[in-house]
Amino acid sequence: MLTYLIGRLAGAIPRLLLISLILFLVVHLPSGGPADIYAADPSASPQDIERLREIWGLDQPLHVQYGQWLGNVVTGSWGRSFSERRPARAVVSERIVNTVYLTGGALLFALIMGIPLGIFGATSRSAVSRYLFQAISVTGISVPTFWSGTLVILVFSVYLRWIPTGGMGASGTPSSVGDLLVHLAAPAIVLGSVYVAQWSRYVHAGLTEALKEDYVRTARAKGASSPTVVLRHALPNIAIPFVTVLGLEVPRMLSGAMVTEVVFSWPGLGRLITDSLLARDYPVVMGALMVFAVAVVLANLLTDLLYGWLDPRIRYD
Amino acid sequence: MTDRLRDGLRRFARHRLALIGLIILVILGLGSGFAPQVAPYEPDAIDPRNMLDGPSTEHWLGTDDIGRDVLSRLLHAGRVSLTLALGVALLAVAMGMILGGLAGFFRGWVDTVVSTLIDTMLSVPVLALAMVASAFIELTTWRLILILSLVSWPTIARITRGQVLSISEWAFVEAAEVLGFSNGRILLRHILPNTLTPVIVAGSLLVAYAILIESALSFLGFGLPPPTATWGGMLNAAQPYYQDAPWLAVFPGLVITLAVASINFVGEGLREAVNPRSD
Repeated sequence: MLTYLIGRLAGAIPRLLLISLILFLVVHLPSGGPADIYAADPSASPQDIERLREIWGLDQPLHVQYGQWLGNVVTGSWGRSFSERRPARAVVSERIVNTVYLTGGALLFALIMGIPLGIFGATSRSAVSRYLFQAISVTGISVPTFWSGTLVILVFSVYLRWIPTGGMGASGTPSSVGDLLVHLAAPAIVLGSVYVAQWSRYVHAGLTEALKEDYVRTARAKGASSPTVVLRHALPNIAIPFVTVLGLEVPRMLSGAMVTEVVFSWPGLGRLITDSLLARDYPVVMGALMVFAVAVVLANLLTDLLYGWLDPRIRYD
Repeated sequence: MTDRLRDGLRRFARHRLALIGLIILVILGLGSGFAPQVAPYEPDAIDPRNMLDGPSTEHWLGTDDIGRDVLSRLLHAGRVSLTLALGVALLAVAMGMILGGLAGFFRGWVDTVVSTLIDTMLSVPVLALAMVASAFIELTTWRLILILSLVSWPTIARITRGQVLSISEWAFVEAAEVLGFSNGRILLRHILPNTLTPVIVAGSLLVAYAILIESALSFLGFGLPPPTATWGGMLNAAQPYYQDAPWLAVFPGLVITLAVASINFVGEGLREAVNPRSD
């Protein structure tokens, strides 16, 4: 098990290196670097700009810059933030937990709502409720979060004044768990509702197939009640494909979180990336994006470990 | 073949939501395509007497902060958004089918390279990648199409690769090899056409996804620069006026949702049509 874990993590390193190279090139190749932002400032002389480029190492050839960046990652500073006078790692890492709150809340909401909805869709027999399920779920995956989030803010905070318009706490930072939850509820529900629709569709599709299996007929024949058949016999059998799609969904969920964070002024990684892109703060952009990439790798690993827990026949050796 | 086609069409038509989706799409497509003819006003015409006006008989969907007609702008923006989404889907499908086809057909090092690239691309959030690329490049419609296809081909490539891997094992491929056909002919004429079914379904969903990603980019401020109106861009411009002019935010979002939902319904219908589930 431990050797498996180490092997998997080591196996992810080439992929992460490739990602970092691609991102590095996309960020650094186009003209118009961070120093150009200051070029618009009349008080900055061309010499000042040149000096900035030197300080930031942008006057070096690209492969040297990439080497320096890699070195900074290994030594743990991730380079210095261009816009804040501290290591990029400090800027990025204080945001990670906020994104974890948001995506965690969304995940929880999506599971609590999505699985029962999918069960309902698969077990109801009337044509009307089947159409209703399909209409709700397809509409759910089609509503862009930046619009549904905007509507939620319009209705619940601008007009009704029930919820705060954004941020993590009444005074910027959450003062208590309750304060955090009040601010977290709306963005987490908005982000999660996409996955309620998505995952209920997977549960629906999987369960519809599973309910046709012989073991379901056997269970019914021996007199098991309908809820027992669905929850104890059919549902566990679709757990593995469900976990698979859940794992594949992580990058998309992070994309969604970026948008949701901007809509609700949630100070997470997504907002950090948006802000740092506008400020051309390369080290912070690179750091935050690499955190996303590592999160995806870890999520894939977690998915594989869950397989073993869900199906004891799967072994890791 | 025609029988299969007719069966497919019948199954598609039986899927009522797909049919409704198709009708909405046709309306949106015609409305945008003929925007210069059907739009009540010029998209950039300014009406200084009616700035930030709510929906009225004069301006059905209201006016924006400098008095431009929202309906006319939505129709014109639709041209950009829909062309862009179609372009992205076509280009991404082409790239995905070529790379996935090559990987599945030649295997070996080609497969290793392409698969590594697919896995790598799939582990970065698409929106983040597109955002970084658009932030540093002066955007035009074509460049944006290129960027969005470059980030979305991997899903198509993965499907194609899997299909090609399994189809290559079939007897008819062996027969073509025995007949001495060239690799290119076998791949293009014999294998790839058989992978089209799942690719078409995935491609149709890609159109919907491209609309979402484009409007998300515009919303975040990394989309096409003004004066080009896109649905997401209109939503972005509405932000300062949530309180005074909520219709500016409501209608563009509604159109995006309508377009994306319709495409998804059609995709669902297509899936049913080509791949009937036994009920």
